[in-house]
Amino acid sequence: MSIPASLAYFEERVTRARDESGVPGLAFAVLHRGETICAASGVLNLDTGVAARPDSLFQIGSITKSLTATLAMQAAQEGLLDIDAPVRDHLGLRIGRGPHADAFTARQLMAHTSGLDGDLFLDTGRDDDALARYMILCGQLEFLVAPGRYYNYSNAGYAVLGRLLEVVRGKVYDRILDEHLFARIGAARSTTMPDVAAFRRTAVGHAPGADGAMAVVPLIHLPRALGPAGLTLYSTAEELIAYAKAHIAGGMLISPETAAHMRTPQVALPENADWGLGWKIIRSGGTTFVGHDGGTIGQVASLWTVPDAGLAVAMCANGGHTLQAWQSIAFPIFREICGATPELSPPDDAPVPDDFALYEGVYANSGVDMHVTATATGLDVVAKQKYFSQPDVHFPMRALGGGRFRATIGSDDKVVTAFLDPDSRGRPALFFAGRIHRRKGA
Amino acid sequence: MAAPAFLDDIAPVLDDACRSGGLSAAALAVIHDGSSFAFAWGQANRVEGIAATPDTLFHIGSVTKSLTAELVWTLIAAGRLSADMPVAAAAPELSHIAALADERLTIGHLLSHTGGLDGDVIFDAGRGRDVLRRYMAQIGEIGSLSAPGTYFSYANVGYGILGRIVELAGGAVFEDALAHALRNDHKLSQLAILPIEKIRRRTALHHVGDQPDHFGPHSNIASGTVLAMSMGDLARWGASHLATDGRVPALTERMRKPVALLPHNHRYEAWGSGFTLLDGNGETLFGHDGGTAGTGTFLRIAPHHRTVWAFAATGHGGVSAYRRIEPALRRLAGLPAAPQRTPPGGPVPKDLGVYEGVYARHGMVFTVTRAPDASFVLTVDGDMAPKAFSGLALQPLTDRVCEMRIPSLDASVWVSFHDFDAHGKPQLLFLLERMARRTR
Repeated sequence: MSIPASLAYFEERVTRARDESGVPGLAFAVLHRGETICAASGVLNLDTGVAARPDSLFQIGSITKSLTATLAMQAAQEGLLDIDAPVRDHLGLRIGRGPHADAFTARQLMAHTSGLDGDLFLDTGRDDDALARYMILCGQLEFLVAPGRYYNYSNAGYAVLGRLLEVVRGKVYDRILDEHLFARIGAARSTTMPDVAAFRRTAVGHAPGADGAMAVVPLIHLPRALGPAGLTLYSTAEELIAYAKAHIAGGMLISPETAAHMRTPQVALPENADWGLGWKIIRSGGTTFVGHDGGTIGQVASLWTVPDAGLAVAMCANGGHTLQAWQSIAFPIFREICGATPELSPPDDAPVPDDFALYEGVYANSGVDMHVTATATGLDVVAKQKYFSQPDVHFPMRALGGGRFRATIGSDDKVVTAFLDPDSRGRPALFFAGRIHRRKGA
Repeated sequence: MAAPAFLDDIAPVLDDACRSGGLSAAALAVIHDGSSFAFAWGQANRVEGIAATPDTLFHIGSVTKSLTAELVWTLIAAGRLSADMPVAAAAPELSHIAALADERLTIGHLLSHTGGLDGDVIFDAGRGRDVLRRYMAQIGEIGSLSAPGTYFSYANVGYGILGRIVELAGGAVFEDALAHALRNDHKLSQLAILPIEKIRRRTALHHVGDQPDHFGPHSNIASGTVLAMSMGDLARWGASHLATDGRVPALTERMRKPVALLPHNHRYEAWGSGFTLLDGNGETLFGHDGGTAGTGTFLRIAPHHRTVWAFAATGHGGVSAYRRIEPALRRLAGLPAAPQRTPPGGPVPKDLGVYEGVYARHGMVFTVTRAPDASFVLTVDGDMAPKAFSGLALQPLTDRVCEMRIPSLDASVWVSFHDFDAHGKPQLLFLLERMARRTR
């Protein structure tokens, strides 16, 4: 059996992709026919010049959510957790304000359908009680929509899921991850603890500095409270593939049936994709892609699988044009083996007239204020982010009809937004970047 | 740039120590007559294959005590504390600590290890910003071995208490106060306190076999478990104590003013209030040593010779490697060879029977017994007892100092006896810079 052309000379391909994308350090691993093919190029840290390897640790960001959901399904399989019971029953604590706090479930947390406002990035310390303390703050979160109806990406929701695991297992989240996940798949390098990561080859994030050149990002403390949502985990391209393999084969972490259930759609996204339990699902050209992306400050990771083909591709990158690097390596592999790529089909971009003034106003959740004003062809948006000193983002949105818009942010012009779930006065909420933002003011 | 000549006597020693597998990494920085040099050998991370570089960080261990002392002396200079202030007055919240019941115990005693405190209490009280408060809450049982101001006994816990006092008097969390002093006041940047900062730099780490050793707990940050610095930055910090004008000379003077003459010690002669005093009672050479997380560190400051050196090594044999390179550094500075420590003369008693008995300190019990051949042996037991110290023969050198040979370490140390009662029985045993009090 000859190797697919897209996997031949893999090291050279990854090195070229790194050179062309300006990523300081790039690691790829691919699962194909039961074998793992790895390559890495560049450096983990432009200051130290330490070389990247396929077993180097990178921050994988929100891919962690898939691991947290897997741990929840594993606990459910063991009879420790009922994913359709109100979270309150397990936690003994109300999360969020109002009556919805008594109703939402672990399943809804995994599918991002709890409606819980999610970008509350508060630091409750570096100690083992960080998650427990964060739950107290979560008591004040609003439900942006009623549980079970809409997709609303919620980081806080995954912290709640992580705390739920701590309660039902009687262990700190980080230990559950080590003992119930990494140990079972032989992933000896992944860790959430910086004092462990410091002993290993570990990447740091990069972004353009004041002079435009790539530089190590300033040290920003990512709160341990959001660990289960993806703020603390370091993993490797190789070990992400070991994790994907456990999902595709089933058995090591959860049963094949449970693994299949996790990649069954739970809710449709406005952007022609679905969310399962801890996975995003994209159907494209007859192929079902299951995966998750992740990012922290200056680092980006992607893990996408085609379970039916036994195929998985993982990327870890520490700055630069990471999307370009991903597409230049992963897409040829998917195209060659599956005849399709995990891309959202671009929506019809013919502008549709609408009464844009209806949408003018400020929309907010805990993480961002979105200032929306009407223009001749659509809307103009300024997003002011509240955490991590991120700059404001200014972009246009063109109408697609039916309250849907297409935003162009930087080089990405496929961002679909939607106005949905009107309040009692008929004013809709804004769905953007996976999150629901409620209209502010009178 | 050509390697300086003084390296000729140093590089082969360290090349060899790293190549033979004993040392993982070594780094040396020298500041001499205004010129700076920095060198590195071996692997910062042997298991991951990351080479050591001159800017690699090393855990400086107890050398941190000099930095903590500088923070305390800075607060004293600002009128926020005073050296003769009772600890109980500086930190009323610490009144649960048994040793603080004695109001004669002052901040100055803690700085010079003369508080008589019993305890090298190093444990993990968490990793949060409130860790010093939590650590203090758990050391209530720490008592005294001797009245404040009477004897030297090296006490990590005393520097832990000073860390909390820095927080209370300065109003900043200790890790922030330390970082601010180093980064803003001293303009140093090659350093890391938190693990996340160590990820961002090359940090020399110790492995046991192919497994990572552990960092010391954050609880003991003020006595020296977590701070890592490049040797260049540590030497630059040391060189600030060469200054002859500005605010530093007054601090330097207080930190190296002799306070505690060590009873009978094979390693050090005297202690100041933040520095270990070496040649000339600290007049011509002072500094501090550190040992933590598999790393040994040596800082030496020779004010009259305008020379500072900082050396660190991870792995096994760091101390002996340092001993072998120190003569070359002394020659560079123009210092004479290290003075040989000799015990004071005096009659050797025929019978060591008065030494017999049991002496204790926190976590350790020292038993002096008569062996069948009528010689005397020392055994150390307890949670914190060094494994090698069992049934070791005591060879009297004077009427109160014995030499004790430790075959497994191929080394000799001195054991001395103090505080004799009316029957001529010593009440204190002094070993490795620490006292233990007779219990029977």
